[in-house]
Amino acid sequence: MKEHSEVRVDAASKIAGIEKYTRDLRIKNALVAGTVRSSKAHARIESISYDDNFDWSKVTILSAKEIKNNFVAIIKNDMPYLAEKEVNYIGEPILLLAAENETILIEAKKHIKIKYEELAAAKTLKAAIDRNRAEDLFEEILLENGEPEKTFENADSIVEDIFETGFQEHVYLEPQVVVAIPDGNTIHIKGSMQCPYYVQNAMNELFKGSEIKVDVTQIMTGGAFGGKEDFPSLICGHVALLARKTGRSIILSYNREEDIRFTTKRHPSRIHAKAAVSSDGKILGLDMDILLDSGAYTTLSPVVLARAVLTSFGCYRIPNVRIHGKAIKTNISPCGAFRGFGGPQSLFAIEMLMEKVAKTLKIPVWEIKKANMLFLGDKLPTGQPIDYSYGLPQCVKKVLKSSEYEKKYDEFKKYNENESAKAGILKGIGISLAVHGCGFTGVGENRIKAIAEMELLNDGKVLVKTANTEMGQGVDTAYKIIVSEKLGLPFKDIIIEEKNTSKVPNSGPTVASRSTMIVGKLLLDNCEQILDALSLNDVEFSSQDFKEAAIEYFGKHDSLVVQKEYKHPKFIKFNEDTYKGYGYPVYSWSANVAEVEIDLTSYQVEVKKFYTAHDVGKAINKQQSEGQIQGGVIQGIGYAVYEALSMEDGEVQNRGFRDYIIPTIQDIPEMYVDIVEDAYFNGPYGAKALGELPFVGAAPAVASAVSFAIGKIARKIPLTPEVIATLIENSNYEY
Amino acid sequence: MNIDLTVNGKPVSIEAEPLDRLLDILRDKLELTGTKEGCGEGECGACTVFMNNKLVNSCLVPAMHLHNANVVTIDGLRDFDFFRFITKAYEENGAVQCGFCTPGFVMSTINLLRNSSEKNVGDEEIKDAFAGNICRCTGYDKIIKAVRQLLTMDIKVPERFYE
Amino acid sequence: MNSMQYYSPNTLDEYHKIYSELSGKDIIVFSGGTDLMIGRYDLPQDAVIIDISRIDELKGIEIKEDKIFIGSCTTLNEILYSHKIQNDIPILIKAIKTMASEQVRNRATIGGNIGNASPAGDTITPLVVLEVRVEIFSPESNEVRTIPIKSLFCGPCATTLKKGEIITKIIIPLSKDKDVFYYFRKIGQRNAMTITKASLSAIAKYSDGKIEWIKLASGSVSPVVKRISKTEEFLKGKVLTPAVIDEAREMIAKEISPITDIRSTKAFRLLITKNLLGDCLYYLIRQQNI
Repeated sequence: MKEHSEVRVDAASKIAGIEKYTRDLRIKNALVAGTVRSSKAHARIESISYDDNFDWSKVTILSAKEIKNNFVAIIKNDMPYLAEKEVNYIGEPILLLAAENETILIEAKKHIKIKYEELAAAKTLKAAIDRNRAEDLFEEILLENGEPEKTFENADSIVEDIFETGFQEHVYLEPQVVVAIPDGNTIHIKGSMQCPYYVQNAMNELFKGSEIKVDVTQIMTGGAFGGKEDFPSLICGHVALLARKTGRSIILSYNREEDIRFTTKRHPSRIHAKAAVSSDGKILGLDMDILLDSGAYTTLSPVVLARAVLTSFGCYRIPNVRIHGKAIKTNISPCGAFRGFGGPQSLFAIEMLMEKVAKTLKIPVWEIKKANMLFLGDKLPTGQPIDYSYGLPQCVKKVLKSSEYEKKYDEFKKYNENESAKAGILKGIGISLAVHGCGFTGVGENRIKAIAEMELLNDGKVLVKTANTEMGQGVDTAYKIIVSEKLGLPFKDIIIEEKNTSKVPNSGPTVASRSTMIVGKLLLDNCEQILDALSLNDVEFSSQDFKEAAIEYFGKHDSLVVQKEYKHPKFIKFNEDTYKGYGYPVYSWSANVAEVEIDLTSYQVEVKKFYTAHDVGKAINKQQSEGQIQGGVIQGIGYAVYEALSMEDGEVQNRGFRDYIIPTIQDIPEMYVDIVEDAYFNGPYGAKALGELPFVGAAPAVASAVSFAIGKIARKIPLTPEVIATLIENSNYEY
Repeated sequence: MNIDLTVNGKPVSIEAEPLDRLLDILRDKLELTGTKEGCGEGECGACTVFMNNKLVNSCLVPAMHLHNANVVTIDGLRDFDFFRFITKAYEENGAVQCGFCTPGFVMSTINLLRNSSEKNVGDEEIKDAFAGNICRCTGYDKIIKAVRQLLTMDIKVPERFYE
Repeated sequence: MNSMQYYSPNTLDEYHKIYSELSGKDIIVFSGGTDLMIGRYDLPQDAVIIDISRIDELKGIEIKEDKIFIGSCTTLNEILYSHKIQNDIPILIKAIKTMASEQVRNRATIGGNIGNASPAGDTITPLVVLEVRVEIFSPESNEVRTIPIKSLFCGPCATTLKKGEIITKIIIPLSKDKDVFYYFRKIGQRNAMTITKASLSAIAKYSDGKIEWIKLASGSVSPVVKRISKTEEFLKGKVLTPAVIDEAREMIAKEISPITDIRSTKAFRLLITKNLLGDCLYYLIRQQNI
């Protein structure tokens, strides 16, 4: 396949402001919806009263009592659409309101009183750990390999620490918004979302036993990052229920404050990691206790934990491991999917554990990482051999070269010794190795049985039917490239079908960096099916030949619709009980170098330069791949340095962009991106996962650089100036 | 209250409350949906428009300030000649991902281009010009490249629009 | 929004008349609105809005004799792009450059920034060290008076303005001293669009290796922005040695009373305020040596 850097198919319409996002749709005669939420972290609802002096005729109220199947179908189905008797977090929806306009809703909310009887709550992960209740354990995973106990007994030294990562808010620029449009017994749902079939399945469960049918259409989505993976099912239920009750169309549109306070976040983690180390710096054993703060309901926590466990050994060859993961319930807003999905948490821990090993043994950290890095053919602790598509060594080579890491390592050391006091700046350089398992974890892909469909139209165009959504990552353009390359058609002859569940098959959710690798491969197979039908396989043909073959085909047939269901290659097996086998069919790899400066007046960490090399198998669209990498890195720098969600007494204190700080254009480093293409045999043109990996390696590279600068292990992110001050000044004030 | 203003060169007369936001007037009353709402507090810049020839966040402009105002939005600019250069630069440099922030960035780009004809615009000036525009997808790098490219071209952007 | 009563006077005289007719009602004085619009649903619905942004007397920058007059409804960008201010009051330019964005600075006014009386208001610390006076219009008496800016503030987001009183002008005395050193630095949560965790404004005169005088004001670290007078006094006549600077750092910490909020902690604000003073004084030394 030749190199592509195609202009995105949606670029022009987005630049001109013509592209229609959900709030740009003109929904006729719609009511707006609002949510009445719990003000308690854990309580029994005693009563709900409505002020007699308010004109309630203008407001439709919907409560849990009216919902027959009151659970959001996802994994454990433990989260209700509306709380009925008990609330489990501050912000949990209790009532839904609908009215002609926002002003009425705001007024109405002031006239509803909810009385609670407060119950004991675990408002922090620590409180939940201390409480130690079996029912708070959403998921527990144990992965053991080799002889961890013996290894630790016999080790030259044991290095350990506790590593912590914070909440993170997605900050997609378009806040959550969905609409429901009733149409007889059918409710059409439209909205900003990643996974129309997740919503479809949830709606099927919600309306099971009634005559209501639902179809779901994804509208151009203004960013998602996982935040529109599981969460939209909840609010789609809300609008669907209100639409059924009122017979009117319903718009539910979160403002930024509501979005920051009450939607899902990245799981905070607390990871106790221990390495058994030989005197020459070989990691012989790894013991990790991974705790994820999951919030009040299960959502996707078990799968997030699975990825955390399977990422915990990073890019290293560690023969003996005991990885113990727990996803724990707390009485805060539920955590959910977020780019990286558990991987960033445990990768941070393993990378910083390496820092600690280096510091303990007084060996430069890169020496330690290099000495323990996987070789082609090595086995992961799951038993999975890394014997194909392993581009990490090449990534390392490229990034060491572009960053001049080794040279700067010495230069910065000297600078800090001799010049930093005068300049008021500490310099740091850090390196991280990162991995992302491509696609669903374990048997997920076999369970979902993704289907992609392609239709040949009688004018020789093709219609591509998948449920994989465009949320900025460029999937529509990638699919056009994949199909165009195979069928020799120009983009205009490749039509991407609307992501409407009544029009496209379930090709699985747009998550886990799977859309290009898994579904893109299915599309390639679809192309083969079409070429077979047109007798064009294994022959050279032009786009004109294709057109003629299509016309000829339609002379004899009425239609040509091809479908393909995904199956892993036979040898890719995974045991969910032992966590042994192929956690993922293949891995994407990255090597990253960050240069930071710490200002000794403000303690601000500024990432000055960031170098990265990513092995993505094949960059289907070079330019957009770079864009994904740059964007993911900056989001990762935000995670490492800026983004602090303030949780007090179980309540998110941040109200908007004024106090949830993400990187602006003035906070970004110079970026140098290299792409390595070590093809994956089962991906389209060799492509494997891309979307999440850039995020995963960023924070550890920055934390590594910070550790270099201050001479102490940065064991906790975000590394806000308050944290840095504590590390540098060693003062006893708390941050 | 009744307000007479000009939007994208057309006189319009609207009924609004004093504190209604220009953003809502544009989107809901005038159906000019190219202007987006990202935060509603003047931090993200997705709702950026020109008002009396100055770049503003339309979420922070109350209706009562609009009397006789001249408002220009992305919807009124896309047909200008210079716009195709902006489109091309953004496209070719890969400056767009989810696109929700893009109209706001484009507005700031236009402001920079028209104010910078004789100034020396370096990276610091670019970064100042976009301090009020937040993008979560791209990491900004490709937007900066697009803007740098535009600054090297001789693009005629009028000093004022629809006046 | 519900219908709110609203007036838009074109002159102070009209403002006076409107005010007189509204006897007793709650009034919200509205200028650029960059803060008020965000909290518009929280405004008392029976209050009356008086939009002063159309009063021409409140706009513009003028030099008269040894003073600069800035109308309270002058936008931050109008000040930022004013050659007069660029030449004569660079500390104010430096502060405004760090504030918000092009979009917001086109709307936000200097009177609003001062009138909000936020300890984090970034124009306030420079104006306090510049010892500006604030002209206030009283609609009761239909007269103006001027007060030193430091007597305008009486608590976090609270002023000594009486009901209906509005700030009309900021009057900046032009210094006759030509070689005056100035310093402004704010520390926020990131580089752009950031609310101040702590800031320091200073102007000083340094001669013969000694500080002749210095004026200091810290932002975001006390209920109201005020002068750091004991530290100023201490530094007066001193040669800036590391020991003196260390002592000054400890002194400033005793003169401020920061709090913990969502943006930072008390301890951190103390620490960085000390650092800011150190940074300022070392900068002063470097400037002298050039």
